[in-house]
Amino acid sequence: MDELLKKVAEIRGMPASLVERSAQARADKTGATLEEVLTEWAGGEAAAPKAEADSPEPEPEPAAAEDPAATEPSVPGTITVDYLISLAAEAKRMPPKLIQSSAAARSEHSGESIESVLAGWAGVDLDELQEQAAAAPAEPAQPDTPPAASTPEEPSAPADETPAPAAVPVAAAAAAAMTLDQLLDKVAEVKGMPASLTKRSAEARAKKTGEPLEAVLLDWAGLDADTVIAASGAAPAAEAAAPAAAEPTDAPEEAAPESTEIEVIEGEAPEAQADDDEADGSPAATTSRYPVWLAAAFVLIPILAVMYILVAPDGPDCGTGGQLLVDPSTGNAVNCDGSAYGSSTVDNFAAGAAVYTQCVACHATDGSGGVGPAFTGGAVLATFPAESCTDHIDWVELGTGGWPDSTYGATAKPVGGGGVMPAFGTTLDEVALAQVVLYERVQFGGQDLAAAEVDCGLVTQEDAAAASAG
Amino acid sequence: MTAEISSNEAQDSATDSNTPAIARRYTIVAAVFLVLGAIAATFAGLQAVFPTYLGEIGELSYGRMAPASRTLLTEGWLAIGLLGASLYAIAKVTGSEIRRSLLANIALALLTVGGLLGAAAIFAGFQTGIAGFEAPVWARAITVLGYVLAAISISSTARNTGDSLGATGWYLTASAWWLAATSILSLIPALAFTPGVNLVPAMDGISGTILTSFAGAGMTGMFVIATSIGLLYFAATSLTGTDPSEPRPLGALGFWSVAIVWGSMGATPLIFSAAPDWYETLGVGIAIAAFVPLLAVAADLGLMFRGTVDKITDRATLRYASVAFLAFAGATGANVILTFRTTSSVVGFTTWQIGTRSLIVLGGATFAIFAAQSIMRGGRSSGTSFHFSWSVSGLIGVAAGSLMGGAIAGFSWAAGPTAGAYVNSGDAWEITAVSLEPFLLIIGVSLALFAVAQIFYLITLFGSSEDEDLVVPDGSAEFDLQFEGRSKYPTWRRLVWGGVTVWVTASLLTGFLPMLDPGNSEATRLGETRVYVDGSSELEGRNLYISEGCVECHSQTVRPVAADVGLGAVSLAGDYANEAPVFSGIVRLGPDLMHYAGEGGLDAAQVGNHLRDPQATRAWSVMPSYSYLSDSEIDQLVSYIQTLKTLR
Repeated sequence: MDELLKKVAEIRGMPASLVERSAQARADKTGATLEEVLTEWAGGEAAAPKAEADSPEPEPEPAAAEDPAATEPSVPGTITVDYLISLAAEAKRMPPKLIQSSAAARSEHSGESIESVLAGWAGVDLDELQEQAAAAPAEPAQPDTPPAASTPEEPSAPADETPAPAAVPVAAAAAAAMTLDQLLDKVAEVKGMPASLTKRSAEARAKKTGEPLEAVLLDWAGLDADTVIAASGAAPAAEAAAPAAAEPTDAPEEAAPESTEIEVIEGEAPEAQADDDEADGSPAATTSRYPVWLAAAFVLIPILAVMYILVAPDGPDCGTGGQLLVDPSTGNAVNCDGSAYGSSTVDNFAAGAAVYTQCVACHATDGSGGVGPAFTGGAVLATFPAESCTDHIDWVELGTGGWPDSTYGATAKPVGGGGVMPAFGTTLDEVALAQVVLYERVQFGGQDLAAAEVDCGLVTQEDAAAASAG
Repeated sequence: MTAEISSNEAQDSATDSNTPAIARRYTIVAAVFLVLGAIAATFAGLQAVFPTYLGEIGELSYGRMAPASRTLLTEGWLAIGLLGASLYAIAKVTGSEIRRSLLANIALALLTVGGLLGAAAIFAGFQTGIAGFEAPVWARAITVLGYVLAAISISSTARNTGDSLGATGWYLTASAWWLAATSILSLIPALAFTPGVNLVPAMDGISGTILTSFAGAGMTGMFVIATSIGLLYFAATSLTGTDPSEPRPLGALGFWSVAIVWGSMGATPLIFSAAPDWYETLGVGIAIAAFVPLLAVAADLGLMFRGTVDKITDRATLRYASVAFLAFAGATGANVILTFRTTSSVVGFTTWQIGTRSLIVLGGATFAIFAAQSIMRGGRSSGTSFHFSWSVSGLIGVAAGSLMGGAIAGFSWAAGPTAGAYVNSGDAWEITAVSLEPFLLIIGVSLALFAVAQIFYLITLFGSSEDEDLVVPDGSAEFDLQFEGRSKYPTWRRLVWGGVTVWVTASLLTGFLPMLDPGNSEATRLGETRVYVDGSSELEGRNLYISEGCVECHSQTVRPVAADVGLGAVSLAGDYANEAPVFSGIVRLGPDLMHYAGEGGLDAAQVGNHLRDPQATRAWSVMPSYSYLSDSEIDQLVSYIQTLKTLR
């Protein structure tokens, strides 16, 4: 048994352990014993490659229709990705197509090369394999069959079905040019049902799933819409996908990365052919091309959040974010300067002084008068005594033109007797009117500021009381 | 060709499987809860506008109806609907049947019994007073057991396919366990607050509020939102024909960020509360970070739909899913406004809270379930357009009414003290009550629209059972094919360890760590006065305050912001140190009661009269009458309210 193994290993140029594993898998599948398989490989092996080597240009169909034994992997002259895929597919018992896409995704994710990913899955040492490949260049290169053909998924599948997957790359290229009717005919042929019936079912299915009709038909024809896109939309990729089947010996090592690029090209296909129905809905079409600004947003938003937390871990300072101060004695929320909230923090006197600049033309900066009467020397409080600030405000607001009576003020001065007082209510709001009146009464009349603020309605009685108590 | 064969096999096995039957059971039961919850919410909403229309029926008083409707909607409709849809979706994306179907069926029975008992108990006056977990602890224990069993069934089904879980599988599997873990945790404060069973004294004061807040966020964020997004992924993959197991980097980013951000959202409702300052700041940061999952999910789903939207024939599912996503986007925005301090000082404690919550509960989550159920029913759109349009109108009405009403109330509160002399309490509350009225009316009518749509929905669910069973659409069987042997990323191990880590981190950071702040348990002078001894009429009154749901409308928190000036001393954590649970409150539909019985407030007799006939005392009041309480009960309630005064 060991000898047999060694012999096969020698013939195939691969490690004995790998041979044993493949043989065991083969034996499990066919129901033969391990010895039978090994004997077959040891004896019959020489013939198969020779037979293929004799054939100058192996057609895909015969290659795939052959006894799968002939397609058992052996180390070719160069380690191609397809070869590794077939190894991994064997080891993992999965369809090579899935292996390929999984490996591409994994390598993209992990940053490993696709070869090392595949080698890992196949349980082989990539370096060792490459050494062997270099050491055995004379070995007749096994035609590196397309992945789909190398693993017989359905042992019971009739022989006429195997060509379909094997011919995928070729058929795909052809299907790209197919009209809908040709596609229908092909599906009808594959399914063995009338074209009209096929069309009806396909339409029903398409309607139900939301897929385009072509995608359904391609699926039924055993073709992969993605492959078709790759084949039709990116011709070089199609060639890369099917190089080994046609000319194995010419497949250079560089071909390997190329064939893995199918995924990438698929991602671009929908844009290249925006009208192409088959392009839509393919998974690959959606996995690529995330907007770049999103990456920035994903970084910036958490940074913003963390910065917010770091800048003010104990909450905002008073005055920002709506935060007020808490007065320690009462527990009440108060202004940041400790004054009661809602009490005036505005300097009404200063604000009134600013407004008074509009009055200086007639009343003079020092309030000594001019065109208008003087405020100084007790004049202002004589006309509008304490407690009658609102009358004063009304006078400034309405002016001589708007005043309803013929006299104004406590001294009953005649309206218009001292010239024309303009109506400032049209240019100043209530607060500004009150402030300028406050200024006149405090600055020129000598009234107490706090009393005048209450008098002119700029501060409430309660706030004033609270302020004096505080 | 091989593809077609296995596709047929998948379909056959799906037809034979238990999946449609279980999914149908969950769907029907959930829809019944939805109808009950929507009707209860409608009555509650309308009672806020017409406080007298339900007369003096204690069981139907707003304070009981509002929490009961929430329980029916979240522990009934959302939990059963989301778990049922998860079971179905997981089975579909893994191409198998529902594993441990017996557990799934028992879980449904427990959830039904627990949900109905919980709501019934609240109607009967046995609520806990714990925000978000009002159902009594024994009813919730039944529900929690149901959550655990459902989670076991979901993860067995998912585990079956090993490491090849896609975004859908990740969201749905992890969120079911987050729900189970969080709801178990949420029983702790409930046990601590059950009268006579104070097993966990550490839950006294603001600590219990903080743990409750974490549990509430876990339920909302890690379960409701995460599951809903998982269902959106399920809908997206089956609508676009995308392989659900496909490794999607943005999907993974979205998944982890949803869990991290929304799981830690417990800090956000406590902005400007008496909770530790650093904890409140954390809440703001987390609310900002909530844009990460929103963008990730938006981009990922957008890429999935790019170029295919026009070709999707199942418009019903697409419409439901779109509304679900938009509602989540709106909720994220509304939540940031609620959380960011400058705006929170305005809209905090207003109906804005209701708007944010309804966008998640009635919007995102509900419509995600509708989308999943639409797929379950074979994507049939017949009869759903009426349901869709009325549901959407109802949702928009509730959300817009709450948000606008909240903003207006908030600005008027802030403007009042600024102008001087205005206090958000007592007679001055008239300004708020009157200005809110039109918005409360909009909310009530919208809830009625929503409820009618759900009754119609329930009828169509029963109607469809006569001719055809819930159909598995052909399209969904197809993605089974590509599943086996798909990429090893993401792995089951990563999901388990990552899921556990995220949950533990969130619970420690936002549930337990803030409890260690010494300020939480050191009573202030005010806190010393709020001790309620067994058998005292104050404690009896306090229990009535809980059972009648006073906390639904009245807060007991004064914040250091303009809107609260005049309400008395700003609340500190120590003010609550001897209370459990704390009635800090959510929304002020009525004035704050923290210092209500202090100077200038109503005296005992006046409070009693106000409870019996609020409109006689204040014609504009939206408070329902409590004359169904006996005189001695009114006295007890009054004696409790009289303890709520400023300590100077």
